[in-house]
Amino acid sequence: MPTASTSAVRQGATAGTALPLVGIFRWEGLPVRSIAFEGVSADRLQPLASHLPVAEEKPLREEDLQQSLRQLYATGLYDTLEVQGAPIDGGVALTFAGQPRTFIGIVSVSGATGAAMNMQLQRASQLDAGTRLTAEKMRRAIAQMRATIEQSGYYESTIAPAVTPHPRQQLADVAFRVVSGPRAHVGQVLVEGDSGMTVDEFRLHARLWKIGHVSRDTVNRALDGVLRFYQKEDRLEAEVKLESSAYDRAARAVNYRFTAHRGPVVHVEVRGASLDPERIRALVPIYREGSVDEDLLNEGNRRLRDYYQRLGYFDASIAHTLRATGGQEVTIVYNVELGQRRRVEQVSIVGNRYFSTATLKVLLNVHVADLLDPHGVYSQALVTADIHAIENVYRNNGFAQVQVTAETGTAAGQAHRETAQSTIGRRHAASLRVLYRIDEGSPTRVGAVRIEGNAHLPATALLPLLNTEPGQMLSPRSLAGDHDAIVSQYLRQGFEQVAVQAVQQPESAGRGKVDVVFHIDEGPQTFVRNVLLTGLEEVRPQTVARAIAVHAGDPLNQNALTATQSNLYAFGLFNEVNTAVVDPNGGAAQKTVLLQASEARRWTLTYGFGFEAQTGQPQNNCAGASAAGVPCNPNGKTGVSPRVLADITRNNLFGREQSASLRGTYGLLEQSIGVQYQIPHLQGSPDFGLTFSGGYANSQDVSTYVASRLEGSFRLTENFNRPGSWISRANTFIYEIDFRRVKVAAPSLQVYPGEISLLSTATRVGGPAFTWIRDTRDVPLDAHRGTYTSFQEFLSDRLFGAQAEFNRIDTSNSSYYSFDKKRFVVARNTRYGQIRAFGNGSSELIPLPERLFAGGPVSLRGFAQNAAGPRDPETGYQIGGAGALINSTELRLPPPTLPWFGNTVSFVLFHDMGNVFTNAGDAWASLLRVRQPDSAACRSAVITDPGVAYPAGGYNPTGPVTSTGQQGPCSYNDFSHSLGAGLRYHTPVGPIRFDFSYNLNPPIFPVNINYAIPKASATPYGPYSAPFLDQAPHINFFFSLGQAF
Amino acid sequence: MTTRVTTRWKKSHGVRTRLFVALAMVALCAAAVFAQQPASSSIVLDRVVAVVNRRVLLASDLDDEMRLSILEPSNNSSQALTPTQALAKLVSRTLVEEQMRQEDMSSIEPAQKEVESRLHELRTDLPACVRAHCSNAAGWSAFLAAQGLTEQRVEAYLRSRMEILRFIEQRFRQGIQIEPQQVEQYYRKTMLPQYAPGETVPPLDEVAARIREILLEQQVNDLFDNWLANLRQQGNVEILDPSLATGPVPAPQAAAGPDRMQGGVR
Repeated sequence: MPTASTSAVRQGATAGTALPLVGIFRWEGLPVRSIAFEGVSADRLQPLASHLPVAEEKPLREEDLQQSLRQLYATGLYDTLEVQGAPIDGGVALTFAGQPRTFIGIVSVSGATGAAMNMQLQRASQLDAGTRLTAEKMRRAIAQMRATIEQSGYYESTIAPAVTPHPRQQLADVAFRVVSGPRAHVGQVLVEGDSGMTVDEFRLHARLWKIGHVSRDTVNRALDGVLRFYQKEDRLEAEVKLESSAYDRAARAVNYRFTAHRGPVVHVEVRGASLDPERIRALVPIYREGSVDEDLLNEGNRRLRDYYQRLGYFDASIAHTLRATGGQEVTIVYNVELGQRRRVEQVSIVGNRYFSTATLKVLLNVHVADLLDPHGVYSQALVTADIHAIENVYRNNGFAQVQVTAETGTAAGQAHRETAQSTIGRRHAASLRVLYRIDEGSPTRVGAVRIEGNAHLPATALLPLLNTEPGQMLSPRSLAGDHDAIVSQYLRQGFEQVAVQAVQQPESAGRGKVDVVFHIDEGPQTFVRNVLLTGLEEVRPQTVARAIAVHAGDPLNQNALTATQSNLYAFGLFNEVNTAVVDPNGGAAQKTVLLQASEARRWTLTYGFGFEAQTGQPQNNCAGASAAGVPCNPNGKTGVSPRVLADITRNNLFGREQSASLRGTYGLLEQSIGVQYQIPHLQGSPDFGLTFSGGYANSQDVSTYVASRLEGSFRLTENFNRPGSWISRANTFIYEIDFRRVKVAAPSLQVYPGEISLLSTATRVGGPAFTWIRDTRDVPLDAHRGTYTSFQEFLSDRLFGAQAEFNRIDTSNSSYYSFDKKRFVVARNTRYGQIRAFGNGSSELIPLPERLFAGGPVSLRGFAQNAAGPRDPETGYQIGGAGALINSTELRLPPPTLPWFGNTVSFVLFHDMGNVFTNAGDAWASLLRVRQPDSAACRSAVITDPGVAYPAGGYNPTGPVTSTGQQGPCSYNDFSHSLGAGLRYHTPVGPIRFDFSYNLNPPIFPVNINYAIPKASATPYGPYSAPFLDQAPHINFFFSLGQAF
Repeated sequence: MTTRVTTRWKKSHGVRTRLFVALAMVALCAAAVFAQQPASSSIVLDRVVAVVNRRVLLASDLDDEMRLSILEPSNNSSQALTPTQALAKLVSRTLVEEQMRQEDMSSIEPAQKEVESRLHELRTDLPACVRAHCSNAAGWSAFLAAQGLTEQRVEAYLRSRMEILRFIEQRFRQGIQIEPQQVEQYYRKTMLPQYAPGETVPPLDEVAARIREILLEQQVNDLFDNWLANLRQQGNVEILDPSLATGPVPAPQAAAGPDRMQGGVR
């Protein structure tokens, strides 16, 4: 670069050979009288404008001027820039003048035909908000949009851009108006090459129908279709290519020219070991990929080797050869050398002092034979990976000199046995022992930790972020984490170019420790100039104001930008939220932040279909069923219960984060319709939500009755999302006031006649409720760790207008533990519920629908749906209880690799125990009781001679009267135990579940009144005609969605 | 710069209005005069002419490049480069220097003695300098003054040029193999036709080393040209001055100019 003396020389130069382009040398050394800015205001250039190398009353120097120009241009705010000078008062007046740069604001596309075409075209334009807008970019955008819309068959489209500048912000919105025009049809198809098919056949396989419209998928679908045809013929080297496509404007059709070479038929053989053709197709990827290349053939080598290694041939080696036969056939031969079959008997680790063997074994891939891997897992590659894993753990904990070696051998005495085995044809696998020998070396400890170069953030703010501390082991992983922590802290403060380097130096005191110094190059700090939020049409600005975490004057913090985006999405009011910084790479100290939101549709319609299949599906109205010829009994029937559901929601009510919805369900077991008004964030608070709901439901999920429910509730939900909340965010509190009118349809009631009028009376239930939920599960649909606890309290009292008075507590706790590298999961769920009735007379009787029930796919799987617990003393139907204690334990096994299903299917083993009890106090007292108490009383309760015993008014039980009505002599106070196994088919929406259970001690119960026998039957006593002793079934199965708990 | 105007308001509304109009006219005239004064006599002192990968090139840089072009060994005419040619060279050099910075080629820095030796060669060998009698101090000073240069600037230019040449040497010369067949082919197909019939032709053994050097330089130049073209293609070069962008595009040799290796045999 020229120096001041250079310019001085230039003044005297004849310049005969070089024409000066600039005029600085005229006034070099004169004082600068004033500095002005044109094009971009001085305000916008602050603080740089006040700290340029050229300054008022300083002598003008060429270097200063050059430096000032470079610094101003580096702000990114100018397209062109020059400095002008004028003589004034014996000095120079300087003016930095330039064309201000324009950046992209909102980009919108409208008018294009097709569901998501406008969005596709917007993305195709590649006009990113905040970046520089240039004519070249606009040209490219239109070209790319045109190419995109042509791919969809619109070859006569017009794209008209309209640019709306906002000079104050140096922004410009770009709106494209698209007229798609007519859509092209598929025109002529020309096929060249050795395709082995006629053009019509090609059209057929390519699905290029003459009447078909051209779409984005037309060409890909054509290529895939033809290739698939060739693949079916094992022509895996076939090539199909689109050579050209041309639009015929007169015919409004696209003419295509393809080349197709069918190639030879490919055969794959495996030699040296037996392997069935289906497995070869599954293992060798050329079939799945539909092509043959060296990478895929090598992948076949690896897969075959892995397959044989799983069978215990740990030394298996695979090589392939390719042989062409006459040009029309190719044979790929995989030559397999199996080697000796072995079984991993022992994997041990020695030399470890710092880490326990158990800790290190978790890291190992090699493991001994077990149920799932009958030969164990071993290969040289896995041993090498294990060595690296152990070494990494040690190095990350300060043992820089650690060395791990692996030794393999046979167990003691094995050699003799191997010889013997070899003589009988290796029917048994030889044993293998793997030993990892660790030489830990001496640990390196940290001496001092220092931070240097931190001009803006004090060390006292940075040091607490570090994990590396004096005296502790030197860990490269901790250093990397500390580096990231410092960088993050600086980024939060707007230092976007911060660079941090962690340097290790031998301790000055020479005690064998290492000092750690974090050298920081802070770079410039960037602040938010202003925040421009666009795209709000119906949503009120004040609704989203609290969600915006970036504000003018704040340091430009990318985390705050991401948080803002996340907060805005959390409203559920927007289907797209983009954040951008204007001129992100520019050098300006203050930058504009763009928040561009796109509001979601205000109406949403959701609908679905589901079904459950199970044994013991509830069966109401036995009299009617029997009349129709359907057998009916208290244990229900095996059946399927389908249901459909629909929900229509109006979001964004009044421009606020509020919604109203109408939802309905129609199924065999339940029909309901309800309305809901929801304010998920009360007054914008992230912690509180409010819900009003009401509706009518009709349910048949208990065989005993059909219940209807007219209800309304007011619910306040409290979450703990705010940083620094007194309780963790895993907790949720729900405060509720519930009112409902429950009624059981008298004709459906299958209890003894004396109770029908009492139990079928409509009853009003109402009062406050409180729910506490604590959820720490990792994946709610299929948890591997964590807990889920719920506690529900409901008080129904006259004070709230209730006709039944009781207090109900229903609590449940689930926990999940994984082991063996999270392959196995032990899941447990315990539920305890109790109802205490109070009041007088009829208000003390707990209405049937309010009682506790258990049994079914998400409860006690030893019983049918809601079939556990006390039963009507004469009919044997379930009547619910006032206490429930249930425990379920599941061992969830890792998914094995199965043909067709791959790893999508897994199995569980489970044990369920518990029951529903007449009184809550019976629950704990029955914990260890595995037999039904006094079962003889149950047996003797069966009427042996209906003709004698049948009184005029029917049977009347003689047991105690409780809050759940009149009991009989039969007791159900025991713990029912069930063992079972289940299958889980994993899908993106959670596992599909099939559970099979065997109840070890199902209860017996008398059936003196059998409503399945019509009153007008030939028998003299109708339902009283055939008393018998019944028993709940031992076997149950359930088919449903989701884990049991 | 601010101007404070103080006046006294009269009670009469009409007088106030007239005074306001008069003051407004005076103010307008004054503003026009102040606005016109710098406009009429202001000149462009410097401006941004191009941006190469966020590095700003100024008109003063271009001016400097044009002046220094007189020192190029290939310049026999004492004519400076045109602005377009100079900008092309400047862009190329900026791209190369950027790569040099990224690769941290500290070993290529020449010693002061080497720079002085090159300066001495320039003063004695450069045709323009020979004509100006640069070998003596007075001639050298006159030459520098005529070109608007200083000795420090020339030294800095030579230092930069030596660094670039060494960078090219290190980066491209290593790994190039010249086979004997290539030497022989050059001797027969390129060198021999240049001799008139009857003229004494040196034997191959005598010129083989020089031919090998030429071939090596050719290959280095080819590699360098491709590399530079690639840098230009991948880099973001924006010419802001339309007159510089639309001018004749110099040949790669001219663009690379002093950065290329040159050689010949006769």
